[in-house]
Amino acid sequence: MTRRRVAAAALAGLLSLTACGIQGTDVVEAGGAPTVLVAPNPESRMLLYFVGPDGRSVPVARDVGFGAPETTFAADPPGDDRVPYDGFGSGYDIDEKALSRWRAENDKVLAALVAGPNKAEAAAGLTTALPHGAGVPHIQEEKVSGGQQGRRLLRLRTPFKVTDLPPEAVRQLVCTTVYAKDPIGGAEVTVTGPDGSLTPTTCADTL
Amino acid sequence: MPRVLLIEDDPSVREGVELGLRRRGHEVRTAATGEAGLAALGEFRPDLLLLDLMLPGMNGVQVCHRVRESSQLPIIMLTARGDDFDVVIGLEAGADDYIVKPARTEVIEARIRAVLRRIEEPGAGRPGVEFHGQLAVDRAGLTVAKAGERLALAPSELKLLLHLTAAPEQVFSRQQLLEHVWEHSYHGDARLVDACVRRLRNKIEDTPGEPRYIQTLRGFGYRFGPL
Amino acid sequence: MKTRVKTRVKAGVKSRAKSRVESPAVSPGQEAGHRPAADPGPEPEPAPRRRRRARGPRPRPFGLRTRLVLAFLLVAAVGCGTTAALTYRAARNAILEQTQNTAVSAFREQVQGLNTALPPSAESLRDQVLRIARQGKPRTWRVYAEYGSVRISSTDRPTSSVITPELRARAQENAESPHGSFQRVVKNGTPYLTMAVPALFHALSADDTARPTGLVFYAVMELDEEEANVEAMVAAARDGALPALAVALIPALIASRGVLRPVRELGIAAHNMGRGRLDTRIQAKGSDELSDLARTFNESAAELERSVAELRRAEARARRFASDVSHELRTPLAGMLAVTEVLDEDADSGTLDSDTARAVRLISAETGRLAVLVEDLMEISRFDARAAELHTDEVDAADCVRKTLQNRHWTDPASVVLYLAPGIRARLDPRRFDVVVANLVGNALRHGGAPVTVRVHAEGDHFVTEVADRGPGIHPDVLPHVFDRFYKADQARTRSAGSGLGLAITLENVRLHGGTVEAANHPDGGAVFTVRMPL
Repeated sequence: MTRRRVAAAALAGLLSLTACGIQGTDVVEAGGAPTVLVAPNPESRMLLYFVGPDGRSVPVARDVGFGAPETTFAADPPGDDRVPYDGFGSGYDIDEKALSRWRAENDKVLAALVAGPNKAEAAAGLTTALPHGAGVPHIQEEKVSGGQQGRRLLRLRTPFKVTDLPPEAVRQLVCTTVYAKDPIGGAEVTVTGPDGSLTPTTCADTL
Repeated sequence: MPRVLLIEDDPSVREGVELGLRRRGHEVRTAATGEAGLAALGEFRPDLLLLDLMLPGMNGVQVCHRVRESSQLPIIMLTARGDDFDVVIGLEAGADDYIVKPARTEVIEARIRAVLRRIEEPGAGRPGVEFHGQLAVDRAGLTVAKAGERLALAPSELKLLLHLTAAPEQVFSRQQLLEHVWEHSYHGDARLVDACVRRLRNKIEDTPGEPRYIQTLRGFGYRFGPL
Repeated sequence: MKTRVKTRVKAGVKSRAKSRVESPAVSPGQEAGHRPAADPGPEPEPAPRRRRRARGPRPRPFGLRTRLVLAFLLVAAVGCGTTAALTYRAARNAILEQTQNTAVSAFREQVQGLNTALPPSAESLRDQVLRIARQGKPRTWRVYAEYGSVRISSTDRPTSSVITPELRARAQENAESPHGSFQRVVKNGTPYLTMAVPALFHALSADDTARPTGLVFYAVMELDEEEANVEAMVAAARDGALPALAVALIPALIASRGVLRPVRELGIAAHNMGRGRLDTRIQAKGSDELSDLARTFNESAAELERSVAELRRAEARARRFASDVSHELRTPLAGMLAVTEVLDEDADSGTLDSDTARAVRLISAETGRLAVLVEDLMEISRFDARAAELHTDEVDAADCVRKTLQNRHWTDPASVVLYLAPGIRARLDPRRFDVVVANLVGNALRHGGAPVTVRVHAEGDHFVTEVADRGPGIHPDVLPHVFDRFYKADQARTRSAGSGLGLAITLENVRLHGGTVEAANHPDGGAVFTVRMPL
């Protein structure tokens, strides 16, 4: 009685089509995510990445009062206190004082990162995965070898060992470094400690 | 020995029956047609007429009618079984009996004798003439009169009436009548009786539709009276 | 297709149609004294061999009509149901998509452009969440915000149990381009729409790639109104489909009638054919399969009628021939039979030489036998032609039997034993009953053994005449044929005293009375013939 079976199957199919009411679904993606404005202004904040309760990197924005130098300028007529600035390649000079200040700013960001979350941030459940009381790493601009346009390499030198760092800590270092040095956030960072270097990664890779 | 007139168109039957009867001592005259038979009737003066029903020209029934107009000559029809309709008509026309062809001579002769036989006289001491209502039955003279007027009864009619009046109010079944009056077997043709009763009633009853003398008892037979 | 059964009655054909097996009793009044050769004219229909049930619409639980109607309804139901189901599905999905899309985009717009610190301050975030919650679209929703371990909600509970871990994981997933997402969840029979949008931010300017802030907004909206709409649609579909099915019943009944009426008429026509009305035809119109069938039926019926008529004509010719032959034989026989006595006398007189005398005796004896044979043939012919008449009279059955035996001088108590119940009055034709009894007793005396027992007794509204002999009985192979014409049980004994028609004539005579006759073997040996005739 093949025909009967076919008829029964058709009926069953029909019934499933008419399953009444509203069923649950899987998670469905729907459109882009909204953007919000984060206070304080980009010029007067620094972005640090800590670890959320679920192990994800979570950014915090701290007010620093002044913005870090955002532009470089061509060297003034030669003076003693001018040094060539290799951050932009040869031919660019920056004022030695300005340079040291900005470097100090960068170092200040990393020092804040190493210092861990402040009270409000800890209240929001954020922690740091970095070793406590370690020395402050500092950022070096790397020259881009090869002709890859728009590729920017940063090297972060740390006074502590990096090869044993948990991935959360590496993400903290990379993302904080990227946003400290490169507001666009596309730079690759190579973390280098006394025990060696990690693979260069971007913040988007590690988050 | 009785004188028999045989009217039969088929030569073999005519000759065979004539031969057989003559051998038994009957005086036989034959005729091939009804007309010839009627012509021979006056001259030959037979005691009995053997009449074939299927005749060319004037048929047996017509001959029968013609004979009955003037005489009570005993008539036996010759017929073939299956010609039942003709038998009834022949009986109504006044024939006394019939014989189914083919028949042996002894059968034919037995019938002839039966028809010609006089009814046996009942025991002596009875008056010669009995009166039943308007009927006067003379057993000795074999005559019947109604209201003083003599009735012309065929031999079978007379015998039937004599038989019935011999035991008034006694019921006779048709089979009994066949055996006693016609000397047929018990299983004979009861239409003989019926036809004869009808003819008799037409002659003796005041209104044949409501018979007084010969009464019917359905399922049993006939009886004479009660008046 | 329309069909009609019509029957043309042709009297002539039918009268000869009846097989002799089905000869009905013919009352004397119906038969006039025709010659056997004459056409007997129209006669009543023969009694049907089997009594059929009265025809009429009989309710059959799974008859063709029911099946047709059910199939029709099923098709209608499937049609209705499929349409309703597809419509319903499309409409349901449209309703839900509309709601979802509106809600998700409204939710995203509400979150878009919010101002927050990182980590957000609980007070300002609560203000924002409450504000978003008030502006739910298309309906109010409950809004939740999560950052790290911070849980802010527009309700008194910090988070919702409706939000699934999957949704939460998807919202915090750090894909290249983070998305808003939603999920329908049914909890405790109530459908909910849960939405999640991760809040992004530009690190420096609006041209930068937006990065997750770690702050995720959730909204939970009940879909009870949508569910009510969907249920209303189901109800509407159901309420529409049932009357549609009821309406479909009418064309279903009409269609099944249209199909079944020709079938029924075919059935009636076939029934009529079976009862011998071969002129039954069906009116076949149209060109569908059923009218083809009707045409085929008509052609077959015409062919059958033609063949049967041909057969009947042939049979009638044969019977008439037998009748004519016996008629023609009868006249010369009448002459011959009248002179057999002359021959016998001369043969016995010793005047002839011995050879001539033997020859003459032989001629005489065979003439007598021939006369019997011709008479029996005539009798059978009359039965065949339905010209046999029954002249009934009310007689005493015992007397009748006794007289038969007396007439044939079978009165020796050693050869014939009688057990005749007295007082049975039966309405029968004495001459034919005489033939019946004589044939049976004669047959028993000839082929069976003495003593022959004849019993007559009443049995309900019948009376039974039983003739039993003490002979070897009848061989079982022969038993079905004992009433056949000219059937000789013993092939070696080709000439018996009878004509070979005696039992056939017996059978016809009994039937003419509306009775039956059976031949059987008695368990104690010997043949038993049993005649049952109505009183």
